[in-house]
Amino acid sequence: MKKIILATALVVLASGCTEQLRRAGITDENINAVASVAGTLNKPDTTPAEEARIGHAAASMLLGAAPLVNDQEMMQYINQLGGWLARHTGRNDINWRFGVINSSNVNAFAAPDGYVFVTKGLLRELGNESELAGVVAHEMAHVIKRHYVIAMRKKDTSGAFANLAATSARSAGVKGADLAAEPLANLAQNMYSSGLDKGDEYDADRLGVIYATRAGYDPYGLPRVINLYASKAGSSGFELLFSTHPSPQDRLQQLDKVMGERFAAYEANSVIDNAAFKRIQTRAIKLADPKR
Amino acid sequence: MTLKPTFRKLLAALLCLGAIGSLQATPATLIRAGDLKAEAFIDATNVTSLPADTALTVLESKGGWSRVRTADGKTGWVRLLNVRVAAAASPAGSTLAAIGGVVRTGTTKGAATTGVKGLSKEDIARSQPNPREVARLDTFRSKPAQINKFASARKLKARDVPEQNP
Repeated sequence: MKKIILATALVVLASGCTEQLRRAGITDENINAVASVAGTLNKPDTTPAEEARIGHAAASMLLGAAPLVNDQEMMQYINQLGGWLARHTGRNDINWRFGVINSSNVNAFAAPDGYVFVTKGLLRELGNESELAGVVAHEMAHVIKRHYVIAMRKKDTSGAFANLAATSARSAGVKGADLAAEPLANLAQNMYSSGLDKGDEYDADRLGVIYATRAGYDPYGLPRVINLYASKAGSSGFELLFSTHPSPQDRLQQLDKVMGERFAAYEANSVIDNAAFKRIQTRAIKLADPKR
Repeated sequence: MTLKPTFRKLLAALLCLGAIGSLQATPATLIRAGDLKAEAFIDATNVTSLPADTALTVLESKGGWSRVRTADGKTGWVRLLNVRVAAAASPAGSTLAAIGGVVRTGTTKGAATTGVKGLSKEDIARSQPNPREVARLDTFRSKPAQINKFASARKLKARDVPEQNP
């Protein structure tokens, strides 16, 4: 019976007759729930232009919480490191942009259309450059596999994606873009405070190791960072990282399965560190948090 | 040799910092049987063989290896992925991490969450879009020649690593 009601509701909704549903005694809450299902089913895949807008909204939200560091050397360093990694992902065509966010919270983020961020707090904690390369490569994998676009589409109950498609179709100017901006910003807030599925994180760990190793870095950089997280469970500044990721123990177990001893062969000719990393880290340690 | 009192105090402080560093040693378990090596490479001398589920303390990590101490006081190297840090870190660990924060940043972690911007869940909830910062990212984009220089300064060598299925 429930299925029949749902199916009927979908048909009625599709024809735009929500008023008839209300008259039939179906609550707004139910209508919205069904609309959300219908929306997911009907949503066509996003275009590259739409993904650029989603990525921009997500980056704008993250940098609205805390800005980039005001430090040219740090910013150039992360862009050169990321630029080198990009050449070994098979997706050097993506519009990659890298940044260090001036926050003491320990975390890293990716957003659609090539945005990758690490926090100042993360730079302070890492042991060497290959560990940073592992984290950046993990974030790049999220971009390449479109994890955020796919997850945001699933989470989108307010029609942000539909607005996006509508305004894109009209190729509207600023006015059209504005219509989608707020729902997108809300969706991004929801997305980045709840995190991706575990499977996406395991996938990004696996690919992060591969990309960093291809680029000549020590394959064990990322596993060492996850070990570091394990030893920091419950520490201040790690809260969001822990609440949005599978446990470090589970991540290591998954990495262990895919890495085995297959990567040991690459260890000998790998780069673990560079003096520039320590210089950047010192700058990160000295840098004050931005005032609210 | 006599030390001036101020210098002696400084030395004591430095030693104390060293002690904090070694106290950050982490309790862990060896998840599968393996050799405890004298050095961090596969052909190094065996110190002893350790059975699975051996309780260890991780002292440091280097490449694919972790330096560990066994309950009976033996130290040596085991493969990094054979070691699993205990799921619930000791409360002492978090206290020390907080002390580490003070030492390293010169500010308390508490101060870091009040009156300053950050990336906690609350910071994200109150975020207002900042498109100007997004635009600023473009100004730091690296040129191909800068990336080449970055890689050659480190002697980074590209390698073929197949993307096998999980």
